[in-house]
Amino acid sequence: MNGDDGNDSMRDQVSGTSTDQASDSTTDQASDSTMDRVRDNVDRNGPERFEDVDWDAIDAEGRRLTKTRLAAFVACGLYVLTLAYDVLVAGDDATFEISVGLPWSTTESAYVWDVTAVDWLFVASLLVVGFALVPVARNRRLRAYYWRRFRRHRPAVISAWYLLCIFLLGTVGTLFIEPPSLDVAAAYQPPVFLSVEASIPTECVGPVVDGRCRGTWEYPLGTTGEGKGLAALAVFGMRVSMQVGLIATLISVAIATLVGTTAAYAGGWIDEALMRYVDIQQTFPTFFLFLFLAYLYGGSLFVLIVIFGVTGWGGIARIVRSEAIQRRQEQYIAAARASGASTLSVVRRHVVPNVSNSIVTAATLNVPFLVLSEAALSFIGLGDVTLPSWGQTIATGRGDLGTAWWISTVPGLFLFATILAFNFLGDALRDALDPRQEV
Amino acid sequence: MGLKWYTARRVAWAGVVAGVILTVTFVLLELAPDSQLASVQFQAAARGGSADAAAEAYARRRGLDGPLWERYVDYLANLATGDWGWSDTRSQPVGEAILTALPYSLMYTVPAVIASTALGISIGLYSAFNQYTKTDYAATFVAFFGISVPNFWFGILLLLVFAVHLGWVPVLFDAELARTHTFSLANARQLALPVFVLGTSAVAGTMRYTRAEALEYVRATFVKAARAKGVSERRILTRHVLRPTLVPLSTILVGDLLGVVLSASYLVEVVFGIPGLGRLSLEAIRRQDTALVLGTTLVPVFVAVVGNLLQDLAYAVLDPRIDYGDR
Amino acid sequence: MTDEAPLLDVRGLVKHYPITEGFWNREAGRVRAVDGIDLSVERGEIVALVGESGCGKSTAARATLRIDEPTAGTVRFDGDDVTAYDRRQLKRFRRRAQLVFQDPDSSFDPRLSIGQSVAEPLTVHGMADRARRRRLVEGTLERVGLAASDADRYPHELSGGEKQRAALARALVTDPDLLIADEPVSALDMSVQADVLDLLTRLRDELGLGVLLVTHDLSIVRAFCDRVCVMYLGEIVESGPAEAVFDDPRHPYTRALSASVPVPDPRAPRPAADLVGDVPDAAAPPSGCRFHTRCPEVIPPADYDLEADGWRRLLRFRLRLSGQSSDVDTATATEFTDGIDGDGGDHDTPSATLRSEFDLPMRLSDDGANRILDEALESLAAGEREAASELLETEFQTVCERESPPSRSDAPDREASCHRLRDEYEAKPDEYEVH
Repeated sequence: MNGDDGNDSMRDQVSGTSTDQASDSTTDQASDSTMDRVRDNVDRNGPERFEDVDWDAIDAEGRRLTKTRLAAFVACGLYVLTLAYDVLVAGDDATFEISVGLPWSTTESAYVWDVTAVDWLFVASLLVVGFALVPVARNRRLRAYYWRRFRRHRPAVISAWYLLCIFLLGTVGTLFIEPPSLDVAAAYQPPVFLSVEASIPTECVGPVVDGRCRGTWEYPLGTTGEGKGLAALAVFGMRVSMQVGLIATLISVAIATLVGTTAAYAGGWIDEALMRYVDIQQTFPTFFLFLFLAYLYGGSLFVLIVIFGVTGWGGIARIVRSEAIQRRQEQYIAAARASGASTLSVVRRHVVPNVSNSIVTAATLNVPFLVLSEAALSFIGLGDVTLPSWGQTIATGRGDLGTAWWISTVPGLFLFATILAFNFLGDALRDALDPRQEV
Repeated sequence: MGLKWYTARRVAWAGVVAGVILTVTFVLLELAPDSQLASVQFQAAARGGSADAAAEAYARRRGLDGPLWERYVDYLANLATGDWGWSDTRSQPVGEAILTALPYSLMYTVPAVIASTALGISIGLYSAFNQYTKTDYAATFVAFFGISVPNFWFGILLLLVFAVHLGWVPVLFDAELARTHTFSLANARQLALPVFVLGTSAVAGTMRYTRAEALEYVRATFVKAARAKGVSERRILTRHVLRPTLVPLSTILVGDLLGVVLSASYLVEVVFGIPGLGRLSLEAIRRQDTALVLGTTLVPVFVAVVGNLLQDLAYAVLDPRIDYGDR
Repeated sequence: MTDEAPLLDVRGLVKHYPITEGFWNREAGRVRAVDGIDLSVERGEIVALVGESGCGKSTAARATLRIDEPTAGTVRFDGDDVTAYDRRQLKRFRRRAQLVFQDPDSSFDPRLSIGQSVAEPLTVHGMADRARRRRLVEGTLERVGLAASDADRYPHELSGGEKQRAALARALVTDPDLLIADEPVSALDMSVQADVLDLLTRLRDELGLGVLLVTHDLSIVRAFCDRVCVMYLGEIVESGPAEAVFDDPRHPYTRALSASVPVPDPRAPRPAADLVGDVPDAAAPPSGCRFHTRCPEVIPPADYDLEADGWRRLLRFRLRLSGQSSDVDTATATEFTDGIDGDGGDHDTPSATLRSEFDLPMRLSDDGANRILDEALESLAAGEREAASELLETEFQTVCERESPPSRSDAPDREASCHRLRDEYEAKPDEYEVH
């Protein structure tokens, strides 16, 4: 291509004829100053100019790996390797077994973490969420903008802190606290600062004053009828709730985004068929769907999470679809296509980020619903009976309402607080990320 | 296109939905591991017999033999004609069991729905008119509370306070009393808490939606114009705001209420011991009475399908802007 | 340069949109948005594609770039057949041929900064070095008259004119050879329009760009463009050098368009005749010459000796009657018969009443024609609309509707498609002047 020759001769002309002619003919002041700028920049020898770019060389180079992509690959690789190890090598044994001396326990406890299927899902979810947040993390202005708007809702900020604590306690804390264990001797202990009639607990761990057994710090929130500490139950319950809420929501969001964008982009009968399916799925009252499936297949937390994730995406899909359709008609999408981006690239770069606000809000509001549903299912006995879910603990305390009222109340308070926090958070996020008032 | 054609299409679609749901439940039932079968096989093997033969005998006895297609058709036909199977655990037809339990469920859901709808709309409207006042904030708070509180736990808590400690309401539900003296004060007393718990769950959603919808009209120019003309506040409220609000509201309400009521009532019955549909379903689950589980699950599903259908039709009728040509 | 293939050479470009009905998307008709156009753009020249809204020019622009796939025709870019490109070649084409959109407000992703948007084509085409992209973006922004710091600002912080400059920057950043600008200044204030167009011209000079400027605004065509193609309802009716075409338009449509551009000279002659009605539906374009339904110079039938004004009104009436007119369709039987019943004591014949009702001359210059018109009007008054319509259609046909006008060029780079250019139909000098 003889473009280079042409450009050279053009460049020579620029400072000579055409610009002078142009500046003579225009009388507008603004364009004069613009003219100066254009002329200055053209004469300067400084930054690379777009006509100097050798595109053939770039074409020949091929794709390069960005830092984020590399990190994602490494993380994926580690994950798959450890998973393979757990499945193939460790088998039924615990995955990690380290003996560690903790300052607050008398014996040297073996730090054991048998990574369950749910745990694997959880780690995967955390990785996905982490990588999804990378673009937001990079965009400092956007982050600051959202944070400013979010900060105005004080209950939401408090909720965010609370949820953070719960999250940390539930994920990291459970590794260090001993799981609640059966101890009939310590049954029905009241919480600290409170007391109960001495006849109720079989043995009183604390002092018995005036015929009332007092609570102690050993069981700060009391114990159940089986002697399990409620504080430990509460923390382990956090873990269950966190896992259910986050993993299932992530699965739902993934499916919903896929279905929603596909429906929006494919249009025609694919769109129709998908939306009809969503209609049907949404008509089935969610709770009964859970109930029925849990009855047929239920029992383990893993199955429960899968059921929640795979059946609860309908509403989010509808939102994604309607947003995607709106965005699709925006001109910047057409502009991106016109500059050569493939459809997938456009969806990834423009559609999903612009739709993500709605997704985040919908997801945040989905979590409390799932937490509540899991608690309800556990309450009626359909959850994972091996795990100390809050709902299950509440159920065990029902029979002892009159006497050991704290057994049902304490986990319920945590449950209530968590759900309330998520609702506040979701509401505030909706306001902060409101797409009607774009950045 | 016209309304009749739209109605016909919607009804047909509801039929399709019902059909698909039934098919799906059938498939799920087929694929589910049958624990009773497993235990039968295990017992046979333990006694030294053939597990396969035991499985066959079991299948024959339960009517589970025969080609898949036949069973599917039988399944559909039975459900359509009202033969919903036999409940092993209660020794009565499933249909009968459901009908016996139904009145108890209605006893508290109907008053709760009526009260919460009326209350929800009024408070929502009030909030819309008096935005950002203390009452509005209080109402919003109550709404948050209502949708966040786990209703089964709330019920337990209320029982604890009002039944165990204060003794204002009985701790246990007297089904006999409810059946014989349905409209008596005593029955009302024992139903008070269930109605309250269900009501709080339902009122929250209604309140928020009403507020959101009404806000659009309250801020509208034509309301300002009416005020400028000197129309009384009450008239503005009822004629200019309430009526247009009811249209989109009625469409959201039905769906929202259905979801809340159906699931919340389940838990309420379990907590308070009311022998309604929810309790029936739970016992069926506990005792692995699959036919009854199916029956009690399908009832709320069909209620939801019909409810959605009515909601769509109501919307089409009420809102003159809608185009019947659309889905 | 004239020996080389033109930068862009479009031949016979066709773009139809099917109109679908029913569940199976049966084709019930086609919108003939672009129905066979030819145009070419050389390096270093600005070609305008003008026409009213709805004539298909934006569609033509998009089809040329294969943003919407053309139904038929060939597009040659620098000698290669674009329509035969595979994916890889198409992507490269996209780098070398860029599109600037009309609405600056929505052509930028609100979540991305200007810099990120302008850099996107670089990323898409494989430039992985972020620093290099940044440098290029800043440099390009400065060249279009913005500041390098604008790269960090967001679309909503810029004015319309600034955004359109940024849009130009985005189109230029991959060093294209061809720029297609779809109404680039229509959404901007008048004062800003000139600035942006100046910029475009300057860049054309610096870089040797070929520019296809799609617009409906004739005033800018004269000032900034080298050549012009006039488009009507999916077809190009005239093309040639801009000044020549507007100084001496050959096609009646061009004449009407250029006459409609306001000229601040009270002594300038008034436009010969105004265009009546809207552009017809592209799904059912008029037969023959598509402009004949609105043409002020439509050719009268040879059998009758009709004077211009009367003939035009007769034709318009005929079109309304048969429902072909693009005027609002008021041809209901009641409306016609109302014209008769309405007048109380007047003892005009039905024919006379209808004539005044539909703006027909009381008497046509040709007796034979007048008789036929009377006959038709009487049929109409009796309620037989179909019969009246058929009669008029058979008797008063024009060559403009029967035959599609061939393209004639009387100068090396000028072309126009009008029957009037044929010797036998040439208009008499003062036939179409102002009365």
